Amino acid sequence: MATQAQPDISWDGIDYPYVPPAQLRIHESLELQTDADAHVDPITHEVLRHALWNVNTEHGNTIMKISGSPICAYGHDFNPSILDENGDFVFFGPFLQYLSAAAGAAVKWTLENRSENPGIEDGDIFLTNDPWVGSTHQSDVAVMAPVFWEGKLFCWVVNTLHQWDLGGTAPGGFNPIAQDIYWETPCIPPVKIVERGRMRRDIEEYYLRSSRVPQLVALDLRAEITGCTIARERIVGLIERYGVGTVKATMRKLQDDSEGAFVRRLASIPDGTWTEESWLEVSLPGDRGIYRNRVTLTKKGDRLIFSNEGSAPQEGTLNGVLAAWKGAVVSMLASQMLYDQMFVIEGALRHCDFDVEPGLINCATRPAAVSGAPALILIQSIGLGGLVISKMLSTSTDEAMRSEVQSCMGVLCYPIVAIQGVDQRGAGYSSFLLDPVGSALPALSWRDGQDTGGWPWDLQSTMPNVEDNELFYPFLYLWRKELPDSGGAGKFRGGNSAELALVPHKTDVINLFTITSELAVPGPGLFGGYPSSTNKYALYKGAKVQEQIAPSGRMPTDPSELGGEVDWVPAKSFDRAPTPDDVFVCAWAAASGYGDPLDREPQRVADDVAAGRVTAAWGEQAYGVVLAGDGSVDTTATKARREALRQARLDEGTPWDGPEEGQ
Amino acid sequence: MSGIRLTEYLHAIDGEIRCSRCDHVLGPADRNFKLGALVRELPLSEGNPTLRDPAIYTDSTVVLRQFICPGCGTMLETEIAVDGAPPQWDIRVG
Amino acid sequence: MSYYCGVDIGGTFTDCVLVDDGGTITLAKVSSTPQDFSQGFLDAIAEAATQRGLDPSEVFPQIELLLHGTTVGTNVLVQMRGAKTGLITTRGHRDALIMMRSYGRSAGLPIEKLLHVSRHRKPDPIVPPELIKEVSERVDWAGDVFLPLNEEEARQAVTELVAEGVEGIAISFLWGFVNSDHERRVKEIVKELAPDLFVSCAHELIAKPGEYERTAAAAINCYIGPSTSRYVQRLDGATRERGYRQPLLIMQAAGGVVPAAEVAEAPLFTIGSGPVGGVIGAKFLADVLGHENVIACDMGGTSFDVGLLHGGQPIASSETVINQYTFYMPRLLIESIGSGGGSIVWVDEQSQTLRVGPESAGADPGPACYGRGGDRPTITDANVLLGRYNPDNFLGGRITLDRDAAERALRSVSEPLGMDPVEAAAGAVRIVEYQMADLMRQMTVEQGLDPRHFVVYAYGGAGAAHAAVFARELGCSEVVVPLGDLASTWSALGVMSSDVLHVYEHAELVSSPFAAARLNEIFSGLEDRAREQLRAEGFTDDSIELSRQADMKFSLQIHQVDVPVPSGVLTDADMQQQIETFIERYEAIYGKGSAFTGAGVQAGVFRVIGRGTIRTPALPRLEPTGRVDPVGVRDVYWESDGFRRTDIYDGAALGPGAELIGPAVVEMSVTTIVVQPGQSARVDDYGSFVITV
Repeated sequence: MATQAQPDISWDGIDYPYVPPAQLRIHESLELQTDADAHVDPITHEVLRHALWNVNTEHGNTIMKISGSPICAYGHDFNPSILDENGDFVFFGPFLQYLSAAAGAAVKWTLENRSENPGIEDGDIFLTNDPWVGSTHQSDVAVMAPVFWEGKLFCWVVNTLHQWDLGGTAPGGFNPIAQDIYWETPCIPPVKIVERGRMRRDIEEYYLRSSRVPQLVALDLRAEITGCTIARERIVGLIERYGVGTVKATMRKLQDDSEGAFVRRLASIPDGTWTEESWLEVSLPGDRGIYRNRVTLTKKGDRLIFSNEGSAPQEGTLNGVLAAWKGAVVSMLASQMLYDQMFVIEGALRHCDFDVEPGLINCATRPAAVSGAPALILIQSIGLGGLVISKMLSTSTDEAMRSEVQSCMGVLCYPIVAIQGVDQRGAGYSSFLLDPVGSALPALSWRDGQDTGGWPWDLQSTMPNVEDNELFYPFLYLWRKELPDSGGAGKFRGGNSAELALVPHKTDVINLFTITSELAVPGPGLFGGYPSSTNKYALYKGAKVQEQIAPSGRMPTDPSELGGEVDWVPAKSFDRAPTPDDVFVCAWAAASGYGDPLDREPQRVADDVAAGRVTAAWGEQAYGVVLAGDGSVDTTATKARREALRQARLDEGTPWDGPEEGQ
Repeated sequence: MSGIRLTEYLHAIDGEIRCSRCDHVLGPADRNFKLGALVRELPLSEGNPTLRDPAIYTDSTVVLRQFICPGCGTMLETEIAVDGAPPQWDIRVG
Repeated sequence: MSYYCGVDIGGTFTDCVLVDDGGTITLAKVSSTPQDFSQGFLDAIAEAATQRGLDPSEVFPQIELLLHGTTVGTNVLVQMRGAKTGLITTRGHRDALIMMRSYGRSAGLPIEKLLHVSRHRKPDPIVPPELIKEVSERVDWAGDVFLPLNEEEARQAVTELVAEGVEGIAISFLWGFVNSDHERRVKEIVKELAPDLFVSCAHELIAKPGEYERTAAAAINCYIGPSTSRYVQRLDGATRERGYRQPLLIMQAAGGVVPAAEVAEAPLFTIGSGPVGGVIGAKFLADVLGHENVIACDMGGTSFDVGLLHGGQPIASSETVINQYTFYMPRLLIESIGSGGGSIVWVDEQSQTLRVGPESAGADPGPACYGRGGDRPTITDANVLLGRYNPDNFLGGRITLDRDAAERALRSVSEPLGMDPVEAAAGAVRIVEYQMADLMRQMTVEQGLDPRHFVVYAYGGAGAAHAAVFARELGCSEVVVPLGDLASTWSALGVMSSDVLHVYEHAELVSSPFAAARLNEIFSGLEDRAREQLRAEGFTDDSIELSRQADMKFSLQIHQVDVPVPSGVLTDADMQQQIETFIERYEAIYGKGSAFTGAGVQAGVFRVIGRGTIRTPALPRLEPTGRVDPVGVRDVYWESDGFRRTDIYDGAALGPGAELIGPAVVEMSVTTIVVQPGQSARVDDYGSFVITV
């Protein structure tokens, strides 16, 4: 993949993000193994294809096993991958895709900048968290192991794992008031943590020294290194059994087959340019600004060009870095265009260019603060990527590609609710809620989005059980329920999201921090679909639920049933401290709609209303569907209502007479 | 219908963008189709009843903008418009 | 003369194993009767009696114990043909079963479907939203009441559900297993207002936190309840009518049987019990042969099921996924992939490579060589083309195979790849053997075990043709094809050899240092329940075995390990030892140095397994046959050197003492055994075929 560079800028990973050149400059002391058998027997290829996928699976399972951290197991905030000798992708694991993408840049930087000094040798393993080299933010640590065969570098195995804490001014690594990188966790460009099979004690101790929880970080480091070591052993085992040329040929064929599928699919699409945008909110506490994040996708022949043109300049704590942004915007290429190629993204990347302007919010230059990137700008960029890819795919003559067109996914920005205090057993705790991973899946041109169906780029989004949380933290959930009308209206409805309400319980107070965007600006609908709901934080001060329910004997299940005064908690806050007298409500954003709601089959609306997914009032207002007393469709009234709504559009709409884009 | 299918409701044919429903011409293919549509701006809550007033969170104006086919009243596209920005030219094919 | 009888009902066949006091085994296999499975049940017993020389109408009074494994409950769930079910749950949490923790959209999907997100969809609801009723009540993790049960709302909920015509009501409240007062009260209300309804309380089934998986268990219990209950009661009645005097014992997924009356109340625990009989059979044989570590695999027409025995005991699990619903249930760990004799061989267009499965030709139309109209090539077709299967003596001659049809079908995939049909056949078989080895490797490695220390037991119709290769792939040194012809009714044998087994659990989070007094209270409570139940079922104390376990974890890590707990009164020293045992087991699975002890250790679930041991007749040793010659030769394809004249043996003629050297094919009435070049095989004293890999 190529990145256009302004000639006077050095994209070297120091002040500007690293952009690998087409031809890597590797020191002569390092030889790459490049020979591949000319022909791959179809049986051996099938067996090796599975074997390589399993290497990744075992790699990931090893990390989860040794680490044992909830971040790994529930957040899926890690991903192992196999890359070829040049640092191009063979396989990602089925976990967080965009983490892997950034690591590819880190491998190439290491090849260019470490092959001479200290050198790259058999048994070495490198580590980095440097966002400008190839990490999503400083908490995501990439561990990279070259695999050698007979003195030559054959391929790489890499994993990235989110760490508990690596130091800096804020516990956990995200500083919500950081004005620049110096307020945050320090950056470590690639260092050799294992040298010829032996852990470098000096580098390890340096790495752990600033952490607040060095023992846990040491355990996670061991998990990452063991994962790589096992993956490396398995690959060497495959080379021993099948021959180096055969295994290399299989890797090449996987990449080539994916490219073949991708190019064939691109050929069904006309040239064009598609754009989508959304907004980030609140760069620092107290700020009421919103900042544009825009993605443009251009197709020219068999090339795709992604651009960040028109995005806001880098700002406060909202920034993301290039390697991560690239990984984010191409994430959905795997999901929508390479689902039958086991997500081998290299095929697509060979045809992707990135035309980026540095200094913007999604391509920040040093010393921008970037530790907050993943939950906000990165997953929002995955969503925007999905939308421009969808707009492009809708022009395809390939029915399978058109069937992948999707509206805006749920939770473009993750509503972080960090909680801290003394638990019901008198011990300290510090954590954050994982419920919003339930998200909501987008609508397609032929089906509704799955309510609380997770994200389309996380194959198994898993919400905790209410009881899991209540066992360890001092609160009760008054409710956790799906939200009717939250999914955007459309010919096909966006998936609904959900809402939870917490009352502190068996504790005096819960210290609560909120960090998000997407409170003010919802995800946009597609092709006439309506927008989704947004995230929501609301603190009902003085609700005094226990006093309310004692006489009534009835549990409230909706904010409208709560007493107290509502405090619309903003996107960044650090001072809310609910007590058992208060209730904290958090809802997450749903998915947006696809197509004109007046086109929706009235029976579907009736079914939605009967199941509680859409209210009867909204069914009438947005969809124009009128129901009879028994819940069935009143066809005559519906026809009339829809005609009236259409007429109102024609009557009230006026031609645009303001300035045009670019004027 | 020949030409290029652009979206659920739009296609491009003979250098023009037309409504796939009623064949109304929205304009030349090298111009933002939204400039040939009827535009309606509404508070966000008209687009989703769960949405709150954005003024709670931001000083920017945030509204729902709808683009309607003048021929048949089909909702061609919606967008979220911030601070009166011009209609996004988000689809350019050919 | 008295008999023990095991009957196993599968989708296609119903098998019966009759064993007399002296250990003589009689087998019968009849077609299953899906319209009313109990008919096939009685047919199978009648057939076995006849074969034994008994009058079928007189056999029941002579049966000392009748044990039964059935897939009836499983089928109802898998086919979504269950009862109209209502759910009563905590107000504010009615959506727990609907949300399915989000992951229900892709739970249990094979990798190809997992990667295709635009097709992810949550399954049809077991309980439709309009039949989920919320009732105000609230209990916390400690069992303290935050809001008492609102009886008026409860009555209202029941009344509405009854008016909707539900056949059963599930009741599941948050933390209901810690404080069950509210669930029990609502059950009383249901009994009062609608005494004929099937009722399930979550706390009576599962005692663990996790409201989604627990509520799903309760709902599924109700969903399959009425039909499974009717079936079990009908059978119980039919056997009693015919003179059988004991309770009919039914197989559960946890690996033991329980009396029919218990299954009528809690049919949930029979779900997935189908392949369990096979694993228990493996344990039965492993105990006789002295094998501590066994990979037990069952390859049939559509699927390949694998279970594990470690240290002589089957490895267990506590939850399962069916139709994307994940629910708690104690079961033996059995994993499945869609690799069977009927797995279809096909070509992937993009990569121009050969693939196998997961699509299957099933039994109808079945493999091309069956001549039932199937024209897509399958693994069975491949085995025919390679000469492994004898077209005129397949499954004892029951089916004549059309070799030409197999070749045509394979040519349809080989030609586009520029291969000949035999190459494609050999390749397909290699691919499927790799897939199976892979599943077994993953399972063992995931448990922290080394497959090389295991013996492979291969039963089911198709496993013995492939076992020698996948065992070699795994590094195992021995394959046992159990008990020759008995392998065809293997699950029935397994069922027959089961003990009565109950699992009792108590969930309570305790942190180290553990208080011995509290653990003693918990375990005594569970053990008292176990003894009470087993005594009521007729067991004397010397046939009652109780074992204890605790699910433990490190405070900041998520992995739970079940750790045995010593019996008797526990002391402080035992508490310290318990932690050390936990660390040892944890590191055995997760790796040396992976234990993070810094934040302390927790235990969350305490378990007692109560076993009522049933005397099972001993397996008879057979008369040696000594050396036996092959009955013929034919060309069989071997990877090392292509087609080669190969010795063919008649399995029925081989007995203890018979030995042979590979390459060889042994034809039996229920399966075909393939011995690879360089391997050797013998028949052991019990009639099992043992291949040295």
